[in-house]
Amino acid sequence: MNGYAGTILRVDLSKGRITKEPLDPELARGYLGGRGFAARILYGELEKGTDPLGPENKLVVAAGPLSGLLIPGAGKTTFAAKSPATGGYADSSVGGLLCAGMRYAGYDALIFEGISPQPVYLFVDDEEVELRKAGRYWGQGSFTVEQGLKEELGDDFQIATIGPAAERGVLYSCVTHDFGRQAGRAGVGTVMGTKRVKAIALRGTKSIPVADLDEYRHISRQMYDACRASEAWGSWTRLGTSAFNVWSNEVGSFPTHNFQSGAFEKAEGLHGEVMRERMVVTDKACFGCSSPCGKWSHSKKHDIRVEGPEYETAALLGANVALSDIEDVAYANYLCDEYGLDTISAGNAIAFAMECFEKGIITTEESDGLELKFGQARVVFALLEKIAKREGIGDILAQGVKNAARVWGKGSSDFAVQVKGLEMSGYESRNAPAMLLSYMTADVGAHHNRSWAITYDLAVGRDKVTEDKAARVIELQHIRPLFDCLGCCRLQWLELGLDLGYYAAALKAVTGVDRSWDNLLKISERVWNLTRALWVREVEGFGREWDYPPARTWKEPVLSGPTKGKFIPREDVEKLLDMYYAQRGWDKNGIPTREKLEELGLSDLVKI
Amino acid sequence: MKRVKVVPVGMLKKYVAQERVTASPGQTVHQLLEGLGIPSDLVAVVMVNGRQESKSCLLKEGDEVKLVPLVGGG
Repeated sequence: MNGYAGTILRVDLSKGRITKEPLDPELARGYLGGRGFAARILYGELEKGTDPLGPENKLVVAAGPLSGLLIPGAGKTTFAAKSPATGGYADSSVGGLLCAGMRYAGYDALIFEGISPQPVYLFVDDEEVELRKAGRYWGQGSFTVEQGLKEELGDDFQIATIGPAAERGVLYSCVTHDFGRQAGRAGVGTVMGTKRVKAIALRGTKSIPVADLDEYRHISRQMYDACRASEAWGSWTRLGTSAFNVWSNEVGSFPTHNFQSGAFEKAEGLHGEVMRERMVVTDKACFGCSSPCGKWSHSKKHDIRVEGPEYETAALLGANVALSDIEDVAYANYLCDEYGLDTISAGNAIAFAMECFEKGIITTEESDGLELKFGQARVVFALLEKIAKREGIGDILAQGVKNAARVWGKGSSDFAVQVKGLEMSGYESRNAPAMLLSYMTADVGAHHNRSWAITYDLAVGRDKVTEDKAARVIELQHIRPLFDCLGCCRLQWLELGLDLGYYAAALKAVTGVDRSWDNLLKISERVWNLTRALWVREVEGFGREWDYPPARTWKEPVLSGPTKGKFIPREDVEKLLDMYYAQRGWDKNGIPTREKLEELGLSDLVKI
Repeated sequence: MKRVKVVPVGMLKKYVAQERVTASPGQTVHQLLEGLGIPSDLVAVVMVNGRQESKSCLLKEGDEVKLVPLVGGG
C-alpha cells in the first residue's frame, strides 16, 4: 500500500509474544495514520471500563503516511492510551526520528498490551523483533538509558525511553526520545511504565513505497524552498518557541503564580535572547526539518545539558512558579527530562502546592518541612525529586492537581488549574474566551495543541463571546490534529506560513489517493468525534461538566498586568459550550448525536 | 528625525507602505507600531538588527526592525 510500511507490530507483554499484522487498508482509508490510527485502535480494542494502569490498557505508537518522508517536519510519532491522569482518551506526539526508524523497519504502528513480568525493552532491527531484558536500565533516567542503549546497540538506533517517574506511576510521566523530545502529556509514559517497557529501540533500513515519485520529489522541493524562503525563518530558527515568551507576557497570557496573573514581573530573565546568549550551544532539528526550532543548551550554573527550555517549560516551570533565571528553569527542565516528567503538569503541580501554602491551606506539616514559596528554585528542584520518587508531599502531587485538591480541600479545587484532570498548558485565558474554549474542549484535557485560538481572540476582540469564536476553535481542532494523523509537524505551517494546500498534494503523490483538503478535515472530524465517544464510553456520567474550566475562571479576576480585573463570567462559559456543542452537532450535554455519527461514518462503531 | 528600516512579515505588510519609515528620537518599537497603525498584540516577535527585543526597545538611526506577526504558536 503506497505511503505505508504495511505492517502493525503487536506486542503481548504478558505472554512475551510479538506478532506482525498486515495494515488494514480500511484503517488507512478512514483514519490516515498517527493519532487517527491510535483513536480507532483504542476505541475498537479497549474493553469498556479498562483500568488505565492495568494489563487491559494498550499503548499505541503510531506514525502517519508522511512520517519519515522528505516533507518538512515529517518526524512526528503519536503515543496514545487510555489516560491514567484523566481516565479518558490520551495521545501525545513526539518529534525527532523515531517514526522514521519505525517506518523504515517496516512498521506503521506498535501496539503494546498486557504487562511484562519483568522490565523489558522492545528491540526492532528491520524484521528482527524481540523483547529484551532491561533490568540494568530500570530505575535509570531517560538520558542515561538512551545513551546506554545507543552505546550498546549503535548510534543508528532510535530510542524512546521512560524515566523513573513512570516506573513509580506518577500520573503525568512522559516518553522521551532523542535526548529531550517528549510525548509529554496525559501520562502516556505512565502507561508504558506500568507495562514495564523501559524503552523502544528501532532501526530500519527499508523504504516507504511512494505512488508518484516524480510528483513527490517536485512537491517536496517546493515545500522546502517555501520554508527556506519564509521571512520568519530567521527569527524562528534563532529562538524557536522561546520567541513567544516576550509576547505572551506583553499580552498577559504568560501564567504566573499558579495562573493568578498573566504577566510575570520578572519575565525579562526568561527572554528568548537571554536563553540564546547564555545557554544555547546549537540548534536541533527533527527528521526532515529545515527550520530547527529545538535549542540544545548548556547551563554553566548547573552544569547540565538540556534541550530547551521550550516556551511551555519557561511558562510553567518559570513564570508560573515565579522562577526568573532561565538557567534555573533549564535545570528544572533537565530534572523533568531525566525523571521522565511532563514539564507542564509538573510546573502546575508545584505552583498549585505553592498557592495552597501561600493561602495557608497546607503548612510545613504537609510539605515535609519545606517552605513552599514562589520563586524559590531549590524548592522547585526538591519538589520535582519528591514527585518523581513519590515521597511525602510528592506522592500527592504525583496524582495531579485535581486529585491533590481533593486531598487538601478547603476550596483549593477552584484554583487547581486543569480540565478533565489534565493540567493547563501555558496560556492564561481569562481574557481570551476562544483560548479558554480550546482548553475546555480539547480531547485530552487542558492542552493547547488541538486549538491555539488566542491569536483569534486578539485579532477580533478579546472580550467578545461570539459564535465565530466557537467556529474558529472547531476549525483549529480539525486542522491541527490532522498533522498528528499525517505524522507531520504543524510548525512549518504556523510559524513559516507554509501553505496548507501542499499537504494534500504531498499526500496524494505519496499514497496515490486523491483527497481534497476538505476531505482530510472530515477525517480529522471523524477522529475528533471518536475520541469524544471514547470519553463518553469510559467515564461514567461524562458530559458538559467535564468541559468546565477551573472555577477561578469566573470567580477571580486577573490580579495584575494588561488583563488585570478580567474574568469570564459563568454564563459566558455556558454560552461558549452551547455555541460549541450546537456547531459540532452534539447535544446540550456535549454528546455526539446519532445524526453526526452517521454523517461521519461512525454509527456502526459507536453505540452511545 | 532618524530613519529606521521596517521589514513587515506576512499579513503585517498591509500596514507598511514604504520600506523606510521615519522614527523620532527616543521612539520605542511600541510607538513605531502605533504610528504605523499596527495592532501591537498581533506582532509576536520584534527583531532589531537580528536580535529579539521587547516592544519597549528604543530605536536608533539605521536600525532594521523586522516585525513577525502572530500566526499560530506552539
